[in-house]
Amino acid sequence: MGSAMGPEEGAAFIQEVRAFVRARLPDAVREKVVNGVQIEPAERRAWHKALYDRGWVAPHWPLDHGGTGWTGAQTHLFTETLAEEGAPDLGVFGFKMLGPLLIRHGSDAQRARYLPPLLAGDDFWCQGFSEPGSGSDLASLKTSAVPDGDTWVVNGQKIWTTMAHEANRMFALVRTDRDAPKPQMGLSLLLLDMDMPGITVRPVILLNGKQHTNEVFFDNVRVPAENLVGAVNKGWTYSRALLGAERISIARIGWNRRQLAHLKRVAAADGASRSPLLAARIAEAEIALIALEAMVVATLERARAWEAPGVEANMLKIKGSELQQRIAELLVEVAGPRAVPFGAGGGDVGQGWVAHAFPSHFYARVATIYGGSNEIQRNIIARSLGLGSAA
Amino acid sequence: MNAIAPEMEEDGAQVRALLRQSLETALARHYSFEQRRAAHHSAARHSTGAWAAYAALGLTAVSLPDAHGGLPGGLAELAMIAELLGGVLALEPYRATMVAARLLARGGTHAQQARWLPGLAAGTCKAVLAHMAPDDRSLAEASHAGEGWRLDGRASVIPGGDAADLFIVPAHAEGAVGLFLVPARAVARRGYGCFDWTGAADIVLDGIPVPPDAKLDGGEEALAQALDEAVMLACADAVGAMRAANRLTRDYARSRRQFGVAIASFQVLQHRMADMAIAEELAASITAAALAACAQTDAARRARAVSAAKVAVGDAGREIAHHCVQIHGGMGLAEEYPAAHHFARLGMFERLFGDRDGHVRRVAAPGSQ
Repeated sequence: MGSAMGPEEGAAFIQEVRAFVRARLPDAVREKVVNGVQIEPAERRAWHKALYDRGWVAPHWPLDHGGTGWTGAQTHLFTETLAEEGAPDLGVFGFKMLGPLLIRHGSDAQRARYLPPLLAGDDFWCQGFSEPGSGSDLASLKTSAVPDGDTWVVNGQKIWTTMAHEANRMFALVRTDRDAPKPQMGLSLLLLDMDMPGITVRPVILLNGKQHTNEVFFDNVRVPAENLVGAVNKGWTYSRALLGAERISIARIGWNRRQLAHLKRVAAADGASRSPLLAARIAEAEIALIALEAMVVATLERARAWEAPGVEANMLKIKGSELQQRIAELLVEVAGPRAVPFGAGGGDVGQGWVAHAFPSHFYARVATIYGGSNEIQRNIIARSLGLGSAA
Repeated sequence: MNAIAPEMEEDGAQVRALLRQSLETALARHYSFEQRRAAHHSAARHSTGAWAAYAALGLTAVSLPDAHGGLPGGLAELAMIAELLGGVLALEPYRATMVAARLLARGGTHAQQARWLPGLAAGTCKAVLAHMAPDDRSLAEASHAGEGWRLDGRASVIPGGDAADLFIVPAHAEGAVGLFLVPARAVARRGYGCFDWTGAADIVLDGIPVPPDAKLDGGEEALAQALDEAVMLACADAVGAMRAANRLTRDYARSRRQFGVAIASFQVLQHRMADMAIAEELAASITAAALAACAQTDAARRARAVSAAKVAVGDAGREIAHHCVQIHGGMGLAEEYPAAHHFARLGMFERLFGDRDGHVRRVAAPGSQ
């Protein structure tokens, strides 16, 4: 199905995907996703297998690498329908980033070694990018890889490494040339196994108590030379394209659509939508969603699947993340004082969805920080408008 | 001795300066980040050491009648204390206790005051008003039973309710609002922690009998005044949290380096921190206006000023909380760093003491001048 779909085909396709999710995704998992509760690894693996068996686990990959060969528009319909139906995210790092990276820049041996277990769900990847001193200024990162015979010796520290505690592999951006004329020019991408000697993972607990991220320490970790992706010192160029891919998914149309539906449902059940002021705020969020959807459609019409996303991706990231936060905030508002009890022993009012409202609202604040903070997105947009080079 | 001790402005300013200094010293001793965490995880869900320090400083006696162990002062002193406690994100139910104690001092009989106020003033006893929002009409029901009354109803998410020894329960009593003193041991209570690490409780009044002398003289107007005082003091607490969040954010922006410079040198962040400073000033000013209105006798004016403050302080707090986390980046979400805790404190303010729309309606109400 390489050609563009007509509206009827599109609707039929959405129906097919929806029916698949409803048949294969347990309600308990769906409810966790809607409430922003982290799912168990076993639940994630079961959903992975369902998608894998159907041939849908990596829809945006080319056909000969285990993808679907769909157009960008169809892939978009697919992923957003999954999200809208409450399907768990299988991890943006493996499928949206590492897979395309290896398909484009990896060696045959790397593709043969890493793509099949990624597709099958045997491997789970995390991304080692941010460091304590290098967040928005990622190119300043210091974790070093020094050649020693046929290995790279890695030393340093990563932080905000999402899912590192569950992942068995990591792709990391490391410094391979300290003397490069620009910091960006001395970075390479390395593939690591999380059980390599010298790797330590320390959890970073967030205030919402449950979701956590990690610090990862590297102490003389020896990585085989063949684990370097593409050319030495080209890591920045490769990862820029990856961050672009991450941004499109961060617009999270399906997520926003699903959470807005959830918001409207609980507000109606509560009688909260009888308050005209609150109803108006919910309607305004819905209008923002309609506008975001229109923007995504326009962007997709301009960009085919394998083209590098333009500055529209940065715009989508900003608007999508802001809407995500707004919806999460409105859910807390509907919950009112019932959102207050937290953790074990919550009061009799703090049961059901309201118990998750505040933690989810809090965690949604990360949407404007990760994947390149919204400030960085605006810098990129400004540059594309010919407004000089803000940092 | 129902009267709150009169304030003399100059003396007041001096007393407040001394009080501020001693409290700041005590808070420096009891409220490191680690101490706060330990207090939250303790059985009391707050720092018993800090509470003892408040009592030793006489904070629990401020504005209560001297006949029952009270000390001079009024709402201005309490607002100042609330702001300082908000600045360290204190976990003790100080505001709740003082609001309840003042209600008791204003609406209680001599015998009721003599029974409860000395303990409250000495800090050996905590009381809370089992009601929160000025526009919430859902009260318990009180019906005559023998000589006394029986109470039916429930109250949810009462801040400080988990630590209270005494509840003041508002209830519909024969067509009017009655206020009843109910010892905590008489009610079914479930205490729990909140997302900002303070404690709260839900209580159920399942036809519990209360003696005739448990009903205060004061009724609806006394309740309205207490609720307005509670909102105003919550505003002061939020102002303290905002000031602290802004300081924290500025310090972080000055020390955090990216692209070879401190991120405080980026104009976009400078403007945002300027907006945060404006929000803090605005919140502090409108809280001061609400404080002044609380000292007046005109209930409608007081209600309007307090609700206006609740809305404006909520908006300012939300803006500051969001930017505080954003400017801190990932660090802003970490449990082991204070930014997220300021976010939670300010988020809590918005969820309690009546929602934004309710307060907007109170300001918009005809006759609200």
